Amino acid sequence: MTNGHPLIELSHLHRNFGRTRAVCDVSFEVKPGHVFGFIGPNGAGKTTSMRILATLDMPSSGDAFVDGFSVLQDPDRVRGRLGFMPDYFDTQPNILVSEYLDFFARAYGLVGAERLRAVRYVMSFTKLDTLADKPIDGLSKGMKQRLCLGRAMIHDPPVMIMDEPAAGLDPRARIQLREMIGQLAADGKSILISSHILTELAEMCDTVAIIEQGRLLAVGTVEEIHQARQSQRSVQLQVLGGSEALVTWLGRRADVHELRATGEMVEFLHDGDQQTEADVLRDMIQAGFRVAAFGSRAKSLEDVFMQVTEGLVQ
Amino acid sequence: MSTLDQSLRGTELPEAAPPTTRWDRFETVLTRFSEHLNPILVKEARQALRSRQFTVTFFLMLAAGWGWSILGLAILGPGVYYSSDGPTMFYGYHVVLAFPLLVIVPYAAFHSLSAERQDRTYELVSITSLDARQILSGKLCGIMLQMMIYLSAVFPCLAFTYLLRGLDIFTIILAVVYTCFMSLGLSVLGLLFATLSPPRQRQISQAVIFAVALFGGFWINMSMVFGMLMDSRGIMVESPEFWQANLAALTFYISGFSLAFLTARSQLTPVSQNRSTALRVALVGAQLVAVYWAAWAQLRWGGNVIFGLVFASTVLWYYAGIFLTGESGTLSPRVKRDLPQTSLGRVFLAWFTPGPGTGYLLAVCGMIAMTLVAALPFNEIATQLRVVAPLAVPGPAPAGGFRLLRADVLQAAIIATCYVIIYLGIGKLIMAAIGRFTELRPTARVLVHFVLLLLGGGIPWTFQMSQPVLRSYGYTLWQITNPVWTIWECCYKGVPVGAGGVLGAVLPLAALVVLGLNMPSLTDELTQVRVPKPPRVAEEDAALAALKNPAPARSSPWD
Repeated sequence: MTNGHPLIELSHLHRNFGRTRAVCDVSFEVKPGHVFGFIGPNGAGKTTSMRILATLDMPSSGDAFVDGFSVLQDPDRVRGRLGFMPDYFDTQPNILVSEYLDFFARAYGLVGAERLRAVRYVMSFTKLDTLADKPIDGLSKGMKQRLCLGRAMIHDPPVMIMDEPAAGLDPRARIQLREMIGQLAADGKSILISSHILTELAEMCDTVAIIEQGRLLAVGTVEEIHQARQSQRSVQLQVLGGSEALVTWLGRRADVHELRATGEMVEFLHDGDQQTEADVLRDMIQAGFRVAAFGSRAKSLEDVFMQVTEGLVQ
Repeated sequence: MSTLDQSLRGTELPEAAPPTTRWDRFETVLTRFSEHLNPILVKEARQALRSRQFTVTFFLMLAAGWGWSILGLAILGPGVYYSSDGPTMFYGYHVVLAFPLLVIVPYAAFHSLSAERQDRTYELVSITSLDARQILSGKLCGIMLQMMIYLSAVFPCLAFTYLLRGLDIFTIILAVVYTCFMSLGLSVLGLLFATLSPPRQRQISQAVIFAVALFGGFWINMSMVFGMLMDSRGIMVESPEFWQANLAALTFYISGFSLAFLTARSQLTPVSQNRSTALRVALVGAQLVAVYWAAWAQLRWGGNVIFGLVFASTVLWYYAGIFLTGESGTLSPRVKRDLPQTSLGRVFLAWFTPGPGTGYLLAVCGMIAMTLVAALPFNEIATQLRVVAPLAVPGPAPAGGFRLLRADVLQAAIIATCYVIIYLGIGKLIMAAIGRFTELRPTARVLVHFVLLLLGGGIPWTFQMSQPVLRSYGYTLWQITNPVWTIWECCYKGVPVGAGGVLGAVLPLAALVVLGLNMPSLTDELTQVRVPKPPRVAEEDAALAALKNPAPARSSPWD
């Protein structure tokens, strides 16, 4: 189906609303079987980019491709290849869960036994089979979210776009959703997902893109972004006999930033890797400081996000 | 291999028990048939039949039907056996039927699409494999289903009126058929109205305006059926005029219905696709229908009936031209894939390809064609050829022999054509100039033309009306920029004496100048060439074609 080309491709995408640049020169690719996390503050342009990919909006310039088909030129071919899970719920009245899925299966051209099997499978996958005869307007938020996922995957698309799928879900529902997404990716689907819950994205995504004010600030794995940004490691240590002298000593070093001290505890950011951290520890001990504990950790996705973005809103 | 394929391979559906009874077999056939139904129809039927609005309306209809049966018979008393009270009873039942059909059903159609677009449910449907045509036709089928169910509620009552005196079966059928057609027409207008999607604050006023229009339609239907029932002559089934009038109404209905449906469809179709060609073909179809029936009316009644065609065509092409000339000048690569390739194709099909220039050309050609047809001396042709002589009004042979064209109609039609060329052309130039700086919304484009018409017509009218000396003169040359008054004057009073020469010289000259100014952009559009399909599309098309027509299997070693 894919012939080696990426299943999702954004090429110099721009979208302006009057003078507001919602999306500005955004380009990236998602390969088959990859989960791509799209993160950014509110109003950064994530939803707009996803809506363009889902053929619900038109770019001002640039183009986006799904399985090699342009969303501008061939929206009809794109639609059959993607499942879109928006950040809002469907509010169809007087319709049951099974009828709702049956309708979308028909709308995607599934007929006869193929349609029945698809509905049955999706209900089982999303664990909605016990709710088949319930009206959809009586479902809880978590159930509606699962129904949305079911609707998006009813025609077995190779590409899935999920806008804030975990928003408002309880921890159990989030874990279940994460498992489902992992399973879909394992089956070779390309998944583009946006979320505010960065810890979850870090666990799920192979690649992340950080967007702010419509501009793509960084793309790659968390590690790659980390390294590209001259990454810093967070160091915590305990020094016996008070920390004032150590803080003064550390403050003279150029590779130490954001020093904080509370009693015997000292925390700082250090430019460098574990090797240079070991050198700092050696220097401290040689300088006569009585270091009782020393630990460090690489930056999390949250740290990277905070470092990359500036919290700017258009 | 994808998730579904893998999993479905393992899960086989339980074998359905073979049908044993006739009912089971019938149900199996129905299930198979339902596979071919429009998915929107299936969904709408499920939703509508469960809705409170449907349940309440259906039971109210039943109650009203029974109520009127008891009340009507109580009022008529024993007279029901011998007096002609069938029409009275029928009219009561017709009110019970027509209200849901002409008010509730079309409003439900409007509300269904409008609400779906407001709460973005429509978006989720629009990104499925269903196109705008399928979505709209599914909704219309759902509406027809509701109509049939409502009809079934009062059907026994309508059948009962046939047993009464003073009413024939034909009148009953005709009243019901007219009402059903009217309901369907109002429903398609409701869908069209819903696609216009004004800002949220104006949606309520849009709904109110539509509801008022529906009550207007209901009142018209009531008056029409009342007229039918009270006509002492009854329905003149034997009269050919009756059938001709019905045929005319049907063709106008089909033409108007197609225009409304295709406009709604183009509103819902993605902008990158061709949203214009089908609508243009329907416009030409509407013009042909108008020309045919205007010619028929001219042959039948003679006189100046044909001037109605001049006026109607001017309104049609000017109104359509406003939207056609407002189309984007840049064709999407998708549209360019289907442009005519040959020179002959470009000459005859370019008018139908999207673009403001080709839209302008279509409107101008439509007006020119109407001018040539309207000016034909129909009665003389009929007399000479004796082809449709029975329809023609007999009259004296024209003095001076056979005329090629009717001068008075020709003059009026040329003036009307010139106005269309001038006003649409100037509007198009203004929009092209504004379009260099900012993107114009469709409402702004309509506004440009409206302001232009208001300036051209309103300023001289206000000037003449404000001058006591000029006010009493009627039409004067001050109104040369006023297309409405000038065309009206030419069509219904003849070309004004003394002004004819000036109008005949100035307007065609101005039209030529405006047409010339629009030529460069028109040439740009006409010289666009077809672009090839993107490789990915060509690759998929080839794969699909191979799937449809597999290569023939080798039947011998020499193949």
